Amino acid sequence: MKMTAKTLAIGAIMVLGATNVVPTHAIDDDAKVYPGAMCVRFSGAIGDNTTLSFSAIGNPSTTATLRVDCPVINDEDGDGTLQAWFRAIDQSYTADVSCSVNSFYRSGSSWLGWWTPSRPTAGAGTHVQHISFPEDLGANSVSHYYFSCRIPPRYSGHISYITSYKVEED
Amino acid sequence: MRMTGKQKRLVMAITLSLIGGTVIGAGLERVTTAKRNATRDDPMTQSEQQVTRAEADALRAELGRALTPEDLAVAKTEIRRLKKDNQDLQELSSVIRQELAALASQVALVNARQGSEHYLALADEPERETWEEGAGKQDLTPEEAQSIADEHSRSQVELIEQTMQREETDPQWAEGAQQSLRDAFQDVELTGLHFEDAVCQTTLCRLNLTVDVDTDPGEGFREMRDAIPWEGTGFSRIDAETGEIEVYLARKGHALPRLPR
Repeated sequence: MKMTAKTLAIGAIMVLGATNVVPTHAIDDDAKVYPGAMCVRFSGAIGDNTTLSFSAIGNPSTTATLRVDCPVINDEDGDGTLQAWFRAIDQSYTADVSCSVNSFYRSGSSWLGWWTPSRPTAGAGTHVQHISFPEDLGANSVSHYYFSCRIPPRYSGHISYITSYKVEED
Repeated sequence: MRMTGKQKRLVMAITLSLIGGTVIGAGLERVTTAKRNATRDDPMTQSEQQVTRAEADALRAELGRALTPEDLAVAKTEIRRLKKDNQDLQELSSVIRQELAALASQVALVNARQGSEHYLALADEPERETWEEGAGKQDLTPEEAQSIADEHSRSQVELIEQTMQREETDPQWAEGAQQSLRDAFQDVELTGLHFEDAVCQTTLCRLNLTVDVDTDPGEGFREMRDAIPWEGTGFSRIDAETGEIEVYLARKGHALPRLPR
């Protein structure tokens, strides 16, 4: 039997239609912006360890870099992230605010996960900086996402902050 | 082994789609090959002209008369239409290939489910509790979700590893990348973290490390991240029991191979 282009197209549409029977994950994008105050310190800046200003998390230490993990909700069975970013006020002229995006989960005795390279702010000042992550990050339904960040210590009395961060799930 | 109605429908839909996709794939290839010479307006090579002349002769024989200008005009219109169809089909083919890859992944996940004894036992319980509730969520128990996630990760690691094995080595880049990874662990004093090996190909590297059992593997992972001068994405497997850390790194500007949704 000769197969015409039209026959093939109809067949293809039928196949694509059939795939709709398969329960697939939600395809709507899901984006959330979180305040810096969501971040949890895990090292550095012991004592008066963090400060909040308009719910932006800052490092009041004069010597130690503050390291924080900032949780992200994985609220669909997606397998990746899209358009992640963080916003920071970097007032240190000697070190940057930097973050990476991570997606990890535990399987048996192992931790498995995907991560982006760490991205720093550029330069310093009172202005907010917007740092984007264009990478698609792998994940599954039991993965949790988080940003892992560094906030440098005060510089001439000025505190650096992470104001907010966002992950849009695909 | 008993399957729920939902599972049966899922398996049937996947089977139908796979069969349909195979047929379409074969058909597309034939159509694309057959049309390659007939759908071009640009100057033809000698061999292409010979093929076209042969096709014209065949058409003449089929019509039982010489070709008229009207025949040629009709043929030209048909060629333009076929050309458009061909382009559409190529786009469709690409979509179908992606769909099939996704379906193959779903088949793997279904297999993982069926392999779970716990799932099989629970499948007979009509009113089992669901872990994820709400619109659009699958009724998975934590064990099922874990089983699926484990299968997904196993497949993910296999995919990266196979891609790496298939890659040819870009000696200029690979040597430099391997050396930079080695140097990263020689230049810095790291607590309980030891470099074992680094292998790079063209777009991927595999880095093997160990972390002392009395060192928190999470801290080992952070130390590794801080130590390596890497600007691409990574995938890690950290065995908290043995302290083995396996890291796959994508070359800057390249993505890690990833299983489709």
